[in-house]
Amino acid sequence: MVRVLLALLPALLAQSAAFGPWVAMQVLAGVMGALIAEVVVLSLGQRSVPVAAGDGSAAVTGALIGLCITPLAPLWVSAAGAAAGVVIGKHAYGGLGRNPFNPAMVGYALVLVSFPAHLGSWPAAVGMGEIDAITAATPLDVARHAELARVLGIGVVVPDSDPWPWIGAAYALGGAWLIAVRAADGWLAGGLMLGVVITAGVLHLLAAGHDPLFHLLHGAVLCGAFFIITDPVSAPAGRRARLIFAMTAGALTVAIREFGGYPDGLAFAVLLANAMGPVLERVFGGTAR
Amino acid sequence: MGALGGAVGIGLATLARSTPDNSDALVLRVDALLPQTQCAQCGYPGCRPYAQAVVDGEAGIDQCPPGGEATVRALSHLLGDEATGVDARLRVPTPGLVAVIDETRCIGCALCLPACPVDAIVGAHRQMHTVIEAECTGCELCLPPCPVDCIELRRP
Amino acid sequence: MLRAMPGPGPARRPTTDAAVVSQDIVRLPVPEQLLVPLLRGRQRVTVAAGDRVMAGEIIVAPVDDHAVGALAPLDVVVSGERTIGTATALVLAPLAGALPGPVLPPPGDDPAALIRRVRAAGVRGYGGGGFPTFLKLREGRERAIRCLVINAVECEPELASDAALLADDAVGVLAGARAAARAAGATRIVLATAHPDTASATMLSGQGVEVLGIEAGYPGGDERMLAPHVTERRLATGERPTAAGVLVLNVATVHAVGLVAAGLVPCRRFVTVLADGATSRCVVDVVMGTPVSEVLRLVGPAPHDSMTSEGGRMMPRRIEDPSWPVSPTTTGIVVSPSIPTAEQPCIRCGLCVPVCPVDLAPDRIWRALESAATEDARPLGVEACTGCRCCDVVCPSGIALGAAFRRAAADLRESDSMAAAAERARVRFERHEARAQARAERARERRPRRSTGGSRGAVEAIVARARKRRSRSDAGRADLVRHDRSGPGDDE
Repeated sequence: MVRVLLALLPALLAQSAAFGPWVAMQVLAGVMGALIAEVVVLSLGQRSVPVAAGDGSAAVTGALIGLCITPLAPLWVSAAGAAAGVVIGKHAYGGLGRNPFNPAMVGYALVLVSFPAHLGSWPAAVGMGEIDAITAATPLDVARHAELARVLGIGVVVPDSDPWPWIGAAYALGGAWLIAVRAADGWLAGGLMLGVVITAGVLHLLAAGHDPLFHLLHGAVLCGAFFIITDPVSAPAGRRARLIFAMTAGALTVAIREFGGYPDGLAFAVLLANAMGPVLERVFGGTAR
Repeated sequence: MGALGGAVGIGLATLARSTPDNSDALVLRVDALLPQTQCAQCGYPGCRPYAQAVVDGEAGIDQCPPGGEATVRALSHLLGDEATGVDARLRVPTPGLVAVIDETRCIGCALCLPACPVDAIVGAHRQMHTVIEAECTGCELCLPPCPVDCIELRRP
Repeated sequence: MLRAMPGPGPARRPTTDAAVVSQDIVRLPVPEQLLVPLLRGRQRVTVAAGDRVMAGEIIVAPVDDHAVGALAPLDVVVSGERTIGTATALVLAPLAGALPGPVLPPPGDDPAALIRRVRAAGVRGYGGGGFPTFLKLREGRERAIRCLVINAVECEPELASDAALLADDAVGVLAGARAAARAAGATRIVLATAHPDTASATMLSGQGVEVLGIEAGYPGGDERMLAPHVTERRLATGERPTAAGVLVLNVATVHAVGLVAAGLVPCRRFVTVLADGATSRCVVDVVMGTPVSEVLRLVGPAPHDSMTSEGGRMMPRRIEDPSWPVSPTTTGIVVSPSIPTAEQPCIRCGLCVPVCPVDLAPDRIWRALESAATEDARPLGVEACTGCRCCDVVCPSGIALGAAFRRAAADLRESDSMAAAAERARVRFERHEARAQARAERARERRPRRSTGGSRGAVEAIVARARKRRSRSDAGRADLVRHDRSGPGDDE
């Protein structure tokens, strides 16, 4: 788990460089919220708190939620989301190793549907001139609204610098290291990206969606591929089952993005794939690898 | 929505009622979980009749002392019954004991031969009787008929 | 020289260097007391306390079909029996000046005679498994194996007992291999070793033994991993090498068979002593039956809060009482600090799957065992687990998987034998019931005749029975005895 936190550092730096130092505060708020919730729940149980809390899984959940939540939101949103993720997404199912859903995504989804306004906007990337801050839609939002604007005949401002591909690359860097030291399963990461690319590619060919590269590099796909879908607890066992699981999540991400109500569908796509996990394991898992 | 749900519910219930009751297969499955001691402590003359009674709903799943808690748990798992332990009124026998005939006291009366539900006693009228250790289930049914009390239960 | 194939699993650790083998071997003298562990119920002691027994005489006899016996290794006086922990051991006091030497006429070329002597001498797997060698030789003969593999791979890291034997007495190993091959019916002898370039391997190669170099790596020395190298046929889960025409015996076992074939009683073996701290490793040549505590005197007092185990670091078998003797299964003695293990829950990382040498999925088996569904672990192959503990080593949560799987396999075996006994009882019960029914039927058929005939019919029936009885007694004693032998109510 400590290695996962280390691997998130490049992404933390990239996101801070793009959106300002408040990113780090959100991460801190998330980690604090998660750890406090973890200690409270563990002390209600019978296992030794220092040993059980020391496994670092809550900290990872908190950090991921902090990174996924816009720096413009109040800090309590990250803390609350992280705490909810740890309690409802992990401990309610029996604690470490027993949760069928990804705790970070559970927390994020809860916060997203509870406080949609707070999660609405990301800051414009630093480097747009003398203006201190502009709230602007993310490129994904822009893409949606650009379509709508085209239909309605309204002009839309598109920011020049787009930090998201760089942030994605930072996630990929940390993630690639995790795969190299065998702390993450490459089949899950690759499967998600493959699912995204294939689905986006098909839709793009049918002129119903954006090009695959856009989908891959924007939003949380790269973060999701290396840090979210790779949570081994909520993934099915068996290489084949894992590949299908991750590809399904990728396909659903693109589908929700293109046809659904949210600009970034990764969280719900992952949760839906988690729900399919046990069935996939039973059908495709086999008895050994 | 409500009407749809109601229709589906009624349809499923009718289907469940109309499919033939495969209780014979269920009796076999229950019987397979019983220890086959054939001791009749459950009140039925053998494990198969008890299995039949369980499936018919006449007997609870906690009536088998030689099966112990493991059997109650296995039956509960199969049938969805809530019982957790053997009926407290029944005496759970020590597992793994077998009957042994003291040959110096046996008088060859052959009364224990038909008592054994699995024919584990070899002998004949006025000939020595002995229990085949490998086949004895420890059901203790041979102890009462013996007029000289020459049978006792021991570790094999 | 046969081509070596890469070993299995990423849990590779270097095994012994060839250079290490030439170190001095410490030869321990005959101790004051020798202990022979007994299998209660399966072995029977044939001597009594106070008996003076000469080398080669039977001291323990097997009771069931799969047990072995024991012969006195030296001239001894029987002291009695002693309990060590939960086991019993026969205690022998060697007579002063007793030395091992040929004590019995060699069993000759007849394979059956050699196998009988191997059984009587108590030869079991010296590689740590302890499986009765006579059963393996007999199975090899029955399955018409063609190849005998001398297993000197010794994949347990840091152990050098087999290497020491090969360096010390390769001639004895060759003689043993030839005897074992004759007994099992093998025409081909292969030496499997991680050091194919040593002088011993070269010597054996010159004598017609094929030398197979195996890449160092644990658990490459398991017989199931060796057989495919020789037959190029993978074993199915649960299959033994004899199914592929190969018999694998540890090199020390082979050597022991050679001793038996020469009329000797195997009484010594090489043991690697590993003690953290002290003299890091030494190989001793010790008489089997020597208490482990005597061997440990060589390496100094054990640090406080350490534990002693038999075997190697990967598959240790804990020795609770240090007076437990060295036996054929003591490949090594390990003194290590007893670290309490803090097990975390399984996070399903899946790292245990690629390291399993028999292609099991330890994560799924563990999940089945965790939810107390041991039966669900059966289709996942838990019974094929070799207990190598490669999965233990890589598990980030520190779960003792190997131990749990062996327990589960034992539980499954027990529930299988109980189910088989229950099935037998059920069949016998059904036949018993059928006979009782038939008897009742016949009794019912007889009764109406009595009641419908009225009192006259009853009297006639009684008279008829009396007449029959008299004619029977006239027919002679033989008939009487024959009839008497049938039990009550038995009219068949």
